[in-house]
Amino acid sequence: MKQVWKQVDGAYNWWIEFEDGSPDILLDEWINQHQ
Amino acid sequence: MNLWLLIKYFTAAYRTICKLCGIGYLIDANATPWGPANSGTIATNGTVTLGTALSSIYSNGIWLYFPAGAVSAGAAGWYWAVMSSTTVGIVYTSQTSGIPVTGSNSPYTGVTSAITGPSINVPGLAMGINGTLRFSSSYSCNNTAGSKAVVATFGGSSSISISMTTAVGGAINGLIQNKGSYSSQRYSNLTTTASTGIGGFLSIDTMVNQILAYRFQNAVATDVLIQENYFVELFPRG
Repeated sequence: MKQVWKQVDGAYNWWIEFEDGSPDILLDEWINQHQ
Repeated sequence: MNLWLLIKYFTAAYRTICKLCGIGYLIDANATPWGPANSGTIATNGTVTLGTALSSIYSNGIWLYFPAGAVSAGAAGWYWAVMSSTTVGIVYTSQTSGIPVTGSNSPYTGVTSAITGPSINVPGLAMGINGTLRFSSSYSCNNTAGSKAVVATFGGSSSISISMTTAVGGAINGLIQNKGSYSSQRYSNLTTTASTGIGGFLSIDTMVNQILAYRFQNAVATDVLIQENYFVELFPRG
């Protein structure tokens, strides 16, 4: 996985991309899942 | 061989030499300010008016986090703004476009959920089993009763944090060190004043890429919290 800074619907956010083809997820959401 | 592969191989070789010799190197550093936008309005022409004054006039630009709808049809997230005063500036469609966004012209409420600011990739295997990450960052905020919190997360887990209320600034200075294993760490806080999270343990697999991320959270939508800069170094050790 790697974090990617990208613009979606006008806003920039950090997203997580997965090598296995799983859907991208907001880094915020990914961290919330790990807290 | 293309240039990208050459750079990749050189970087890998350099990291190996650093690990063997215990040489530290910079992973990332930036002095661009980031922070949640406090409650205000973005006018149709892209002019943002914040309800609470920032600590400085960020005329070189600042990443501000706005809730969904502050920009017309815009998602929640980070927008580039260039300020002309501590409360007024222009929000742009990107850092380089020079094109203002179309604001909703309706008052928005500043975000009080945790949001991720700068995010730094720590390459897998780069730390070594006794390697250390050293990271510093500094903050400006306003003097109120509300908590202005920052947490440095590693691999999604919280490490050092700071929570400011009446203090108009603060810092996070910390270490995350592998404990003789790629998947066991100690984190320690080098700045204990006004901070929580003096130290603790993590179990993050540093054999693969991991993310050091700064998360911000205001308890009160009208409060000011700005990260002024950050600096992250890696001291590899086998």
